[in-house]
Amino acid sequence: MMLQKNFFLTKIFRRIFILFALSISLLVLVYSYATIQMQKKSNLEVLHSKASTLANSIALVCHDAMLKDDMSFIVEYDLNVLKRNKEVLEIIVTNTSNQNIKVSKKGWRLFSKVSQNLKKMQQSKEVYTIRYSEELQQNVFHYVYPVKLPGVDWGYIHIIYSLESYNAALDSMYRSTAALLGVLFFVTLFISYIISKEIALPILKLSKAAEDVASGKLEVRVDIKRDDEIGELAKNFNEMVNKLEHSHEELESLVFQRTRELEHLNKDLDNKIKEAIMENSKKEQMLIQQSRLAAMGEMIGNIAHQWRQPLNALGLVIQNIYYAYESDTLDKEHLERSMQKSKKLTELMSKTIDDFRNFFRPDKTTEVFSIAERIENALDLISASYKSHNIEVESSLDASLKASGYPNEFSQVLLNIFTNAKDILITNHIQNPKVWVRSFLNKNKIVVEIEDNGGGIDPQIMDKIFEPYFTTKDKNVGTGIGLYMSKMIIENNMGGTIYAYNGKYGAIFRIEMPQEGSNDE
Amino acid sequence: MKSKIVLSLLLCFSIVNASESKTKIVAFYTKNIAKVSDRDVSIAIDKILESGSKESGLNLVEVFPKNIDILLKGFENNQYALITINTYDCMQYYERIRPYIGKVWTIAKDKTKPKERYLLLVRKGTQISDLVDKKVGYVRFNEMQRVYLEYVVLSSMHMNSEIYFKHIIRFATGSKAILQLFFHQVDGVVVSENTYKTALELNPQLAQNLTILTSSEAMFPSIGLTISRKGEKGIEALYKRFVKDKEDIKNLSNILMLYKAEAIVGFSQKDLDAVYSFYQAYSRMKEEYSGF
Repeated sequence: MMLQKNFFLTKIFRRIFILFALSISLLVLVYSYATIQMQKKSNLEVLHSKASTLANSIALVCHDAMLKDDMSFIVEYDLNVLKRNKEVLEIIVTNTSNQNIKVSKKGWRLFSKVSQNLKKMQQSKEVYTIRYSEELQQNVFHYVYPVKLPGVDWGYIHIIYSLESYNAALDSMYRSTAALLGVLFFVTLFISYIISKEIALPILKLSKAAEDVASGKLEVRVDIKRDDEIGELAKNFNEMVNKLEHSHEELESLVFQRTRELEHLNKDLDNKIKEAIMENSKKEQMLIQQSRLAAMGEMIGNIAHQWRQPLNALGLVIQNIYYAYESDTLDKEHLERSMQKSKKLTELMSKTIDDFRNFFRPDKTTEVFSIAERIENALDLISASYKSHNIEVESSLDASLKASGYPNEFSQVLLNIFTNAKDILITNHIQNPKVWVRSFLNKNKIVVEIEDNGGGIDPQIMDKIFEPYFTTKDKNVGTGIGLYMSKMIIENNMGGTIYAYNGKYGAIFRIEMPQEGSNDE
Repeated sequence: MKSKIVLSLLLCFSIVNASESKTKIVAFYTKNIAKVSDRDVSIAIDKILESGSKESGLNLVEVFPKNIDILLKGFENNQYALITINTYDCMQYYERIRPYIGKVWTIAKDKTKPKERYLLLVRKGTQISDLVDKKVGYVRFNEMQRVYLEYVVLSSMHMNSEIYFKHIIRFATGSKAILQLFFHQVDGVVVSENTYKTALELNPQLAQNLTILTSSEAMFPSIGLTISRKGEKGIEALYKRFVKDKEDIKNLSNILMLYKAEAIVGFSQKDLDAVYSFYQAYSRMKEEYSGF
């Protein structure tokens, strides 16, 4: 019902209404314009006809006078013509003998020189125009009639007609046209209203029904009974909604069924996710275990390196005791001295074990630690191994740098990198193997760089070196989890970043960490 | 035709004095006035008399005598209350008409100058002596203008005009006569002063080429005369109404306007006597120089 009342406020109605109103108005205006133009032309033709008839009659009546150049007769006749014809304002007769006369309501005069304007008009055979007469101070209809006597072009008759009746006819026409346009305007509005309503209302009904259907009211139907395309559209729309309603019901049933299935699936999915999480957890534990085992391997290797010298020394002490006994030089003092020496060596070895044990003990809490100390500590652990392979270490450390975190984990990272450097230097049989260690502050961040002269990392694998289980080493040597764990420690536990790139001599591992006390995190 | 209608106008105003009887006979002598049918004249006169009858309550009856003798006898015998007659005819028979003249009227184109002056117009530089064997003219139906032309020739050249001029043309109108003179188709014309003034108004160029060679006294009635017989009374009131209230009377005012006449004016016997004196002088000279 609202639609019926307010349909004229809708855009489509307004657009159709305006379109029709403008189209019909335009058509009417064009038609009126064309009619006015035709009427104007017709009125001009009437004037032309009058002027032509008058000029013909003058030429006919004055034929003999013209032959005899009896201008008095022509003047008298023209004066009479002017008396009889109120519309004729002037008659100008020009001839080749230059006795030209101009007859008007006020009188007549003789003149010899024909003006340029008249001459121009006389150049044409027969012509008429509307021009402004300065003498009469009004627009006039000027008609020129060439007088041709037998064997001679005698001259011209100019008939100057008043435009009063012409203008009056035009005014009358304009008024009647304006009145007609006024009536047509309202008729146009009415017709446009009817047509727009006829077109827009069914569309609006369909639109409203479609809107209702879109909002879920599938019981809506449109009541349009017409035998045109709109009626067809309404019929199709109703059929479509019927089908939609049927489909909707089917769909609802299907959805209900699928929902139940989905609920079952969801339950299965939860179980699967839990299983996957558990599997991942297991894998992670395995990884941690592997890492731990690798670290233990590393620790054992390093202990072995650390123990090699004291063991040799202990062997020599024992051998010296034997040589002293053989040479009867073994006395109590020698024995005591050897005992003390052996004791020192065994204490050193015991301390080595303690050091490694402390080193690999997981940190429970974060603490502030010195970067330089952890680097030196790590270097101490690996120094025996480095010495055995003649690897030179050059360090440039800023002793003031302190970070907050897990110092043992950080040392483990450093140890991983040092171990990798050692492995690559050995694998590549580098002469004069060397490792540079630098720590410094850059843009308020602690930077630790470890560079070797091992030849660098193949760029093709540069992106993969921090992935778990990726290794370039022999399966018996590498586990592929050292750098992965290092990245986890630095980025997850220490709030820093670690990446590698190739320098001039070999790979450079760069660790960036926030300085203790800074707010960069 | 025009002259006839004008004369009928005069007649209409004259009937008021024709007789004490209700029926008044108006005699209209058309000969030498216009070559138009009696029927046309009758229609015009009927219209005018109809107005007169309505205004006066008289029964006005028009007659058209076949010749001047019938007209004059009718007037002398008290048969006609009014006669309308050409001025020239009036002068020819003035001796017979004069004893019975009551009142005389004519129409005037200029009511301030009811008596017309005749002019002999020529082109500038032309003398009367130059007009010998030349073409001259006057306005048709105004024989008094011909009389004046002859009078000028007789008085100045002592010759009869038929001999002196090569050809005397009778023009339909005064303006046509002036136009022919201006365009060198005639060498002299006699027109009334009013006509010449009107022509000058229409084209001031005329004054540059034309000149007045001689002019008469201002004494001639414009076209003709309407004369009531002595003793006819009863329509004085109607006359006054016609003259004073002419705008109210449809036929009268229309006809006056048509001929650009301004008024109906009275002519006294003394005025007519003056014209007759001129006519007598002319007649004497014509007789004197009849052999020349």
